Amino acid sequence: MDSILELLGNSGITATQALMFILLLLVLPLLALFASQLHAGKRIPLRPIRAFERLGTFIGQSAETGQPVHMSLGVGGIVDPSTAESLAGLALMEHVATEATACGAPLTVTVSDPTLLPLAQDTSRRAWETHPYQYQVQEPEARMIAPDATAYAAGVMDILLGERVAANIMVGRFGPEYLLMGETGVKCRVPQVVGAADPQVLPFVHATADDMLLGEEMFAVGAYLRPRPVHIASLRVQDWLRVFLILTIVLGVLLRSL
Amino acid sequence: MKVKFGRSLAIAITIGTGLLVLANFFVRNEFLRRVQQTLLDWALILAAVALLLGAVNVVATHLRKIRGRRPGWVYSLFLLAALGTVVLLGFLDPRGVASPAVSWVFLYVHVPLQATIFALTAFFIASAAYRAFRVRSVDSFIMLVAGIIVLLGQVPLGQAIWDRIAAAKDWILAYPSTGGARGIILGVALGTILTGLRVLLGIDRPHVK
Repeated sequence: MDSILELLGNSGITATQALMFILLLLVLPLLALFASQLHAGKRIPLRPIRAFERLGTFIGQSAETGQPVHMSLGVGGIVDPSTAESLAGLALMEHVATEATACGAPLTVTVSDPTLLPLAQDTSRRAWETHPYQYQVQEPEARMIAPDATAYAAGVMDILLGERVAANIMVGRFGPEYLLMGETGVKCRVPQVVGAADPQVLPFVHATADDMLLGEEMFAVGAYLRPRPVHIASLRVQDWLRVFLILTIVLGVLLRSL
Repeated sequence: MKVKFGRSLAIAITIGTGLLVLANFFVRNEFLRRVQQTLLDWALILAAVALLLGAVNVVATHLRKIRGRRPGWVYSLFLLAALGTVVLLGFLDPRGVASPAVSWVFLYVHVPLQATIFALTAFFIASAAYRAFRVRSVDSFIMLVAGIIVLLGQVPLGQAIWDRIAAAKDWILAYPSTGGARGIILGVALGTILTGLRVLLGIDRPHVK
């Protein structure tokens, strides 16, 4: 192992670059292979995730009661390391906004980072425009609360306490301020679906959410809610890479120990 | 036709930009480095413009609330007054955000308010912990036992009850807890890579109508 690293170092290649290159070499052919298999008619079963299944119920309840669904895209943006989590939140928002508009359920989407606001507004506008009788239904509202995480949490707490929301969906990047929002949701007896990736926040999510999207489950939105072959193939690649990494770790431990 | 062209152009720009940045990660090249730096500068400018749009959105949302006399509209009035005051203070002094007046507002209004809200977390942790540790399943039971060991391992009382409790706490934090966290981090990293690649390949297009 040391000799490989030395060889790479002499060639001006860092270990991170080499690892990323290997991952890319593995990902692209696998993605193409699984996508072509799915196009050819192969079926890949997906394990049920309750959080995705319950979204429809929440939107239906909101349509019946007229109470809005609140969706938070977290405190992340799209020009920093939280981009992937924010995009996962946006993918879920696209589904929720389309369903809510179709059912006539009011939807309020909140963001903290201003870079996410145009995307959230565009997603809600797109969902509204696809409705055949768009002028008879309410366009989902996307609004920014505050760029500061604590101030954002305070704003969401105000929405949960004051606007009598039917459900609270939160998917994106969250820090310790999540607890302020999650606990307020519990105190207001609002059903909550939360997706987070930070291991330090997950215990808080476990304590407050009715249904969770833990870590990598957040990134499975496309495969579950917009089941296009390439999204399911992407999920399959994720699973295979995980097995590959586990085997590499086990092999590394054995090689070091023996 | 126009829409389709605009859409294809947006996707082409995304793919081209993404590939340039990715190439700079793998290849050491001065031209690529400069291109990446320029793109990052543009991203910062766009983020600043987005902040301005965000401020307009905040003002519009609260004006609607005030006009509609919706519950809590008085707080919206306070928010707009505070926003206007700080912006005015920044504009009146040539030093802008570094002016003493803006710094005073930040240090003696913003920071204490932020700390006050964040202090609520302590109480919220207590009620969340109570709920999390209620034994409803095998998982909750394991969590409860681990929680009690870690809690007692931090205090002298725990040592008095069992002298090896600190070692047990260290073991829980070093092995099951770290192992679980790393498993989640690995899964998230893979999800992030695949999400990035899907955007790069034009499969996911959150930015295109």
